[in-house]
Amino acid sequence: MEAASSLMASPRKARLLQIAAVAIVYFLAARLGLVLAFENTNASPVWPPSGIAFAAVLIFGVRVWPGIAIGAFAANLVVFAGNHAASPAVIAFSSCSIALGNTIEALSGGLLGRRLFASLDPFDRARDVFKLLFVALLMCLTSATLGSASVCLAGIAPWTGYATIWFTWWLGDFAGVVILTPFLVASWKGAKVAWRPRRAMEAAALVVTLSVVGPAVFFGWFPDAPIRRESYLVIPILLWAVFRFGRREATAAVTVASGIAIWGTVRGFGPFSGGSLNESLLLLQAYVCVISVMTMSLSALLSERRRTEEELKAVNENLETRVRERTADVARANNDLRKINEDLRRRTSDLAQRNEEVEAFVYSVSHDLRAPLVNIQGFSRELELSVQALAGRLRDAALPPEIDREITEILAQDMPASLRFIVAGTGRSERLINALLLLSRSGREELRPERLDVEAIVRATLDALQQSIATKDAQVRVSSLPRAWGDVTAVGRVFSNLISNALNYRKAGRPGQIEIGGEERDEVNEYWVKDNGAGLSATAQERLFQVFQRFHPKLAEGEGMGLAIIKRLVERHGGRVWAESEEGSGSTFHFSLPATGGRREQA
Amino acid sequence: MMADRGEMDIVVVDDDEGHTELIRRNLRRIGVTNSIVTLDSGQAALDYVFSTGSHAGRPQNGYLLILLDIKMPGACDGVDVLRRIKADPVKKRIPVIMLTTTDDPREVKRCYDLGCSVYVTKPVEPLAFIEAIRRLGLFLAIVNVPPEGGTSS
Repeated sequence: MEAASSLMASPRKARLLQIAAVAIVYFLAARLGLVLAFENTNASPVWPPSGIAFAAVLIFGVRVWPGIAIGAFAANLVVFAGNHAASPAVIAFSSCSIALGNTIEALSGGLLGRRLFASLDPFDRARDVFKLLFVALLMCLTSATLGSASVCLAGIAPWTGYATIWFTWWLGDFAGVVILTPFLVASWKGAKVAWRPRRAMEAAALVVTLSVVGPAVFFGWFPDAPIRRESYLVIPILLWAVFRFGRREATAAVTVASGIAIWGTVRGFGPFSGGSLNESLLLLQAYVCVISVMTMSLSALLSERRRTEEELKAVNENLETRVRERTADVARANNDLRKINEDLRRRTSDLAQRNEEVEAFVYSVSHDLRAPLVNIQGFSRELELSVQALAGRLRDAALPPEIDREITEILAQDMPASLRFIVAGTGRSERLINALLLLSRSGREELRPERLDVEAIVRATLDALQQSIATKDAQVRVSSLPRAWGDVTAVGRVFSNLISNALNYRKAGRPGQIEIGGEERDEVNEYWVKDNGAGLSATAQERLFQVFQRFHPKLAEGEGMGLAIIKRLVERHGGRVWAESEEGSGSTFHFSLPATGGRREQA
Repeated sequence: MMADRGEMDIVVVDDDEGHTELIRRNLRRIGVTNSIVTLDSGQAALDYVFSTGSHAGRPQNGYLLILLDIKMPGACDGVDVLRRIKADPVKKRIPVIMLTTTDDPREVKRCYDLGCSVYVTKPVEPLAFIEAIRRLGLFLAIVNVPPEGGTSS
């Protein structure tokens, strides 16, 4: 068969070669089966062609059936013709029907096997070994039934012997399948063993042991020794083959051991001889089947274990690879993070430097802007003094009344008025500069956040504003305020500013009512200062938190910086500030602060 | 006020002539009669105090009180002058009053750390300015100024 496959020139030619090879091998095996028959009978304990036919279908597929049919027909024809058992027509008919039975046997086994087995190599898994046994038991029914019937119909055997013939036939075919098919399939498809010298020596030792122990038990070499009836002595040798070698070697050992047992038994030697023919036949067949099934299932189990180990190893390696990959990923992510951190550090230091520059700039600007104001104010005062001195001297001097009146008017009204405007203007410039300085500092002053008792802060703020509240006849209501996380001075400044605004920007002719409240939210707490004052127009609300914005200049003095400073302080806490207002009916200023620590201060 | 110590000179150092003039006038107005020297740079102040440069040979036998503007253009500003004076074993006893337009707390601390006697913010409001100078005069009346040459009076 191997020769046939290597000669594959075209698929068609290859198939014809396969069919021919199967027919020839089948025929030869049938001759061998008859050689193994008990002397003077046609009863073979093992029918090797069944195993060969089944293996051929498993290996090449159902298309080889003509080879089986031809081989079986020819083999039976030759046997019956040699026996002169019946007329040629009957012989031809019997050979035909027996061949039909054999062909159906192999084909049904092959079809069933291909459906049931997990792989095309049914001896690779323990479960498939038992399925094979099941298939073998079933498939051999056809051949045994048809074959026995043909023999009886042809008159070659009496109908009374039908049951015995059927059983022998069935068991013989079954033994043939169980012994030969695994070996053939394993030889064809099984994994190769790497034949290193030590292994070859071990194999040789195995062969020697088997060829000594087997014949010693079954060939009656030592008729008086107790060993002659110990059929199980072969089993350790088979186990040796299973555990130390591949499935091919193990099944080969089984085939050899079976061959030896059959050969010895049909010659009347060994533990199974001595009783009736049928007894010997049954004992032998049982023995052969047991060692074959044992070896096959053990071999399949081992092969499964090996495969599981390999899978496990592969999974392990895969896992290691993945762990390595993940580790590399984590390392990469760490690296990225480090870079981001460095970047952040650099930016922070840039920002700190920028801040220092801004600070130096503000310092310098405030100095340089204020220096001229000192002169303007100081010399305005000097001028005032000069005007007073001049006016004093004028009173003593006797000038013509017209000139006196004119100069007096200049000295008493025009010049003081001019000077007042100069002083007021510079005073305002001075206050704007101060407010700018304050805003700049509110953005840079270090905040020291802590757990804040906001109610205490509001109480202290109201105490400080008590005078103003009393003067303006305002009513202030404070509801409960949740604690927050922030800088006590900054938060105090925010409240003070908002309450002052509420006090300053009242609606004319309406007693001021101010409500201060707060509410806990998820992570931030919200606070508000509500008044019933003048309120703000929609356009005013847009510019509310920008610098130098004044909306009610007549109601109070100010530089328009308060809300801008509040916004800065609140945002540096990580909160936000917003307002709701209706012109003429009042405003509510809201701001939020973090409820607990952990939020980073925003620069 | 300072008549009993007529030999004490007041040195006003400020790059803004207007400021020096205002200081001079206000000091006079509140009755300070000491001679007032005005200088317009840090280098001039050092030359005057150490009798070097354009003031080489100035006899050092009287008393000095220095009103020093903190921020002046040039290589040597008020803080530098203060540092140099306070580093000298003899001159460090000269009282130095820092005058400035900024009230930056860190600047104030720096000057006190260097050893200035008083730190005065020049107010823009004329009345406040006069008040500051008046307090200065009061201060001058109560301090016991040692002679600039080093021997106690």
